Amino acid sequence: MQLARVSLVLPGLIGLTAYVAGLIYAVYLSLYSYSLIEARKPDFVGLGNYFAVLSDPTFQKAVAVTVTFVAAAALTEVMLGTFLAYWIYMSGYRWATPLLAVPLLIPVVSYVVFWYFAIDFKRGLLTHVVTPLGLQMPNFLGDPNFAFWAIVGLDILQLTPFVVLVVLAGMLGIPGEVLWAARVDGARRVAMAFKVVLPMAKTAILAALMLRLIDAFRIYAKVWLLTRGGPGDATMTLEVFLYTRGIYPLDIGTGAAVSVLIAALTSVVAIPYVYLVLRTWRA
Amino acid sequence: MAVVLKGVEKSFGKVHVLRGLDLEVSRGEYFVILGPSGEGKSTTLNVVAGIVRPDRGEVYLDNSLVDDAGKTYVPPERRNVGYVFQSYALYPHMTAFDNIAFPLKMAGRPREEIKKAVFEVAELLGIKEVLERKPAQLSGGQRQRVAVARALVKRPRALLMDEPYSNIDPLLRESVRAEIRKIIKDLGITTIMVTHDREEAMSLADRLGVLKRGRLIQVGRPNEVFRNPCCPDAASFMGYNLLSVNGRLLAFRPEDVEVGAGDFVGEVLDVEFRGRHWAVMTRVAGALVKLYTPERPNAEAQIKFGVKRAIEYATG
Repeated sequence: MQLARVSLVLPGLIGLTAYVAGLIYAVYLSLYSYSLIEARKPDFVGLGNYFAVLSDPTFQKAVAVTVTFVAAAALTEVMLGTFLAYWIYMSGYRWATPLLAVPLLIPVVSYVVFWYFAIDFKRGLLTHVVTPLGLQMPNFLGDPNFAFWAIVGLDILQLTPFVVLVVLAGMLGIPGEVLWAARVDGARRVAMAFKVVLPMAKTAILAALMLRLIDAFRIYAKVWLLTRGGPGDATMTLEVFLYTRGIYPLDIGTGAAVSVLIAALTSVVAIPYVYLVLRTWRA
Repeated sequence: MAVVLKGVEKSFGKVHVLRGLDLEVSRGEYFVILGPSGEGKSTTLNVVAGIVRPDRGEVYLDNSLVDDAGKTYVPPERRNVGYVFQSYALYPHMTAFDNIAFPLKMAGRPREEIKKAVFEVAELLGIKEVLERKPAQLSGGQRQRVAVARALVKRPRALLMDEPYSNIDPLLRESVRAEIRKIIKDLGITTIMVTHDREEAMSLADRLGVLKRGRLIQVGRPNEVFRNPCCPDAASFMGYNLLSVNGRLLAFRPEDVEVGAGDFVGEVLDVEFRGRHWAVMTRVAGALVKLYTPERPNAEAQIKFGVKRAIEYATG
């Protein structure tokens, strides 16, 4: 009996142990000046790596870029996705839902490359459309003001359907009679959305929001493939920073310190999320 | 007339649910539609509420046309009817108070008036103490009362109730339904309730209608319908035995028989003790016949009985 109980939580426990062990090891490494390129033993530097990283303007920029990205992309995706889910739910176009999975099934690399060939100012598809009209295609990815928003736009395009699927699943759990009760009670469009359907899908919407927030923190592939953090450091996100400063130059100590800082920042979102999930389960 | 349906027809796919249903309910009347499951009872209420649009026919509320199966269609939110769904369909994210207040909020009534009206109806239904709770924290009976309160609070033109007592504890059901009926009658609200429970229909209805194959085959006061069912279907639904004898169809009540002697012979299938009498299930020439007898019949394979009072229908 006891064994059966333990075996049920064991896989999760192993995963958690591995994660915590990795984190502890990262904390340990972050206290050393340790480069794989220089053939010498690691030096203990205390919080030196942290001071160095935190005072690095590029890191500060990366925090700002990442937080802005997370806020802009995740919030837009959740608002747009919730709106679309509500529209699909109320209009009954539920046959459309399998199509929503398509952007999620395409590998990010293919998606980004497709996007690149669409908007690149020299070779892009849009350039061929716009040029004969006498217009000039703006260089989105080369312009520090546009590059960031091009990546936000791509993320919204790819991941809004994820929000739609999650929120729609929540809405489909609402008993149909409740909607009819609301109409009999006199609810028109606006009240139906904001007093009945959206509050009843609240858990799903919050879950989608939290998942998107956490996932958006780890934005890497899109940025790396399109801009590598540039132009300048306009699209330097935390993971790109981690790669360019820690992993690529094999500067293990700095990389570990950045990883720990990212984990800490993500926890700010992740911990309320876990709390929310637990509270919903108890209710 | 508070509610009138004229020649209402409705199909769902190939299933022809309502086939020319006529119904007239006068103001303040408590009308019960009685019928077995799947005969279109809920559909009838949904047509009155505007949730379902008929394929043909007309619907009137307070003598004004609200649906003619064509251009005229007043949607549910503008019909001012109250609806107690079988599942109660309460808003799970709102407290009982907010559930009951919802129709008044939608009507844009001032806050003080809403508060007063909600407390008033909650007082009537005895749920004043639980107004701050959410549906998940209420008992089944309390949920049902909240649903009734929500339907009554705006003083609807018609109150529609779909099997409202089927989820109530059987021991409490009789007293609950009598109490709620009294509240509704005191408020003078026109009610259409549907049920498959004959006893319930007869004890609550001012008039009842028997729904069979998509139309009301008989409408009348409970005792009229009980004593003089119009036709074999109504008789069967009112609990009569039907027996075909020499080209005639006899309908007789289980209590209107004499067991032990008579012209009929039945094969005994089952004997149950029912308190006031014994119920004997028999098979007579292929038809199931129920007999009530004050004495326990001898454990025989066959039983003789005579019919004291019967209604005769032409067959065919």
